[in-house]
Amino acid sequence: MTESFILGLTTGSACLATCGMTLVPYFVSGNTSSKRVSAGLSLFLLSRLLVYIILGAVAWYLGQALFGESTFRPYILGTFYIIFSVLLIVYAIDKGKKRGCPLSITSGIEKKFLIPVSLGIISSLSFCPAMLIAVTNSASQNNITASILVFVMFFTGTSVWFMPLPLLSMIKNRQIIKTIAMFATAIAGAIYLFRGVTTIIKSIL
Amino acid sequence: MDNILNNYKATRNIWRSILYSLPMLLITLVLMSGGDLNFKGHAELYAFTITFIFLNTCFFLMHYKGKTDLYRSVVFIVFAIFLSFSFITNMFEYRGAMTFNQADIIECNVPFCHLVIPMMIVPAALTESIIFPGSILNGFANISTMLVLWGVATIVMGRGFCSWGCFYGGWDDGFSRLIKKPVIKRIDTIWRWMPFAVLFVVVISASLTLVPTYCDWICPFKAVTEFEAVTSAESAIKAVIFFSLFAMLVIILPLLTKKRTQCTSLCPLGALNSLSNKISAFTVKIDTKRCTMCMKCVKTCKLSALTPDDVKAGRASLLCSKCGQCIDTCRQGAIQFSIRGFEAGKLIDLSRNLFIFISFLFMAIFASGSIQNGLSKILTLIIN
Ligand code: SF4
Ligand code: SF4
Repeated sequence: MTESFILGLTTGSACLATCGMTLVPYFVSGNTSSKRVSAGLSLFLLSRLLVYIILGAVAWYLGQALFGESTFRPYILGTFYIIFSVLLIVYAIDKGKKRGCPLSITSGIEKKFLIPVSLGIISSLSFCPAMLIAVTNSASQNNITASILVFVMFFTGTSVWFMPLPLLSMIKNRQIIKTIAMFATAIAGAIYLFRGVTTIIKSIL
Repeated sequence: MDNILNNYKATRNIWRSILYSLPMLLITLVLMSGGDLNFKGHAELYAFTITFIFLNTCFFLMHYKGKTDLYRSVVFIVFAIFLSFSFITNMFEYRGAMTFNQADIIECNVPFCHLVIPMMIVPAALTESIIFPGSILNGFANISTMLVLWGVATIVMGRGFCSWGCFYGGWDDGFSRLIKKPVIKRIDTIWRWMPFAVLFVVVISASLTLVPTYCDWICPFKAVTEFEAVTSAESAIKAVIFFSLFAMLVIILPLLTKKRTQCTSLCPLGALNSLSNKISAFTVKIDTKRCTMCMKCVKTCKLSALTPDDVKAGRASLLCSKCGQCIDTCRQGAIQFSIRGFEAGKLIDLSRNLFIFISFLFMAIFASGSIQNGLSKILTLIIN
């Protein structure tokens, strides 16, 4: 569980680096009162949590359906970890690629309260490599509660980054912070790559 | 043309240089002898004498020749080599091996290393426990002495600790000086921010797992100190990581780039020390009126702490380790050590003399024991 929290915490910084500035205008536009900012942020986080709980349950069923008690379980899990962690590293260091934030598609939404909800849902369904690692981790658990808990911890880790969102526009040196966030994501990728390799080696030995 | 145009005056006056060096001579004498000049044998006496002369000659030359980095790096590199040598030989004496096992961890027999400091702070604040299997007060590298020394050094010198106090920095500093021209010339300055990401990840993981994750899994200097005995697939992989990172970041890349790549792109303590540059008493400033924008300092900086923008802004960046190399290189004498709060071009001599006195003193405190110990062991072998 701690691992998922760390994964969320290290890669969440990159989510914020990519999407933070798309979210900021909503939370701090014009003369938004602090009450509205808190309500919006709460709705945003709650919808993320809900999606993550559902994802945890889905991942558990997927895990059971894909490998259940199979003897190949560690090999399949190890391979998934390797593939997704390599993707995570590439995702982090691929500076050339301009990564658009998927949240921009919410710009057409008229109803005010629906905006934070849809922002929350879309941001949690981004299926970035970090989330795919969380899915693998969740699918490897022995019961559905543990699988959901993996996602709750992942949510908690990433949410730490969204809490100070309304203050983001005040931060100087955003480019440096973005760079550090990308490196942290790559390191998280390296950790899971290592985990995938050791899972396979251990089951061979 | 050595320092002819330099802003501060290289004394070139033997008497004045001796006068500047006298306080260091006396302090190192007391410090190294511990007030007791009775030596156990010839080897100890010779080791003491050689170390004493070596340190004080380098300090004297810093004043006499007006070069900081050249003599600093000599001591720094010798320190790193002797530290590893005496560390490994001590480990063989105490434990019979360079590796440690679970029993050593349980008995807190692992000597403290300053690289663990960033990972200790949060767990110490939250759980009031130290997440390192070393002794708090006893032994030749105990936790409290090291913490106090590091704390004071960091407040005074900021990241200067990385060029004057670190036990290991001399390794990549040394390898980065072995060839004349770099083979790889262009290095993306983005890598300078990597240690902050490492710091971020290891602080979080150590706080949550209460294990010093960097030491446990990453530190390249395990290759020249001690590491976990290889008894499982996991410990074998750890050993592979330590040795390959050492080969890559401490030997090969510094040779090819002439940069201290381990310090620039991995070390989490370097990142933490950089943050202390914001408050430390000394800084490195550039007098923009004298600067001709030749950018020699940018090329020469081994920590990539200077960019053209920093030069234009008249100061070294947050990442500066106050090694003095850019100051030695600048023909215009535009760069200087400076006391915080004073403008570039002010109190040049006083700032330099004060800075090198304090920093060298720290280096002597850290280095003298290891050099003496290592030399004494080598001399014992020769004499016997
Ligand atoms: S070496 Fe001296 S003159 Fe050249 S850019 Fe640096 S500060 Fe300016
Ligand atoms: S800016 Fe100058 S003093 Fe600072 S690390 Fe670079 S070369 Fe050394």
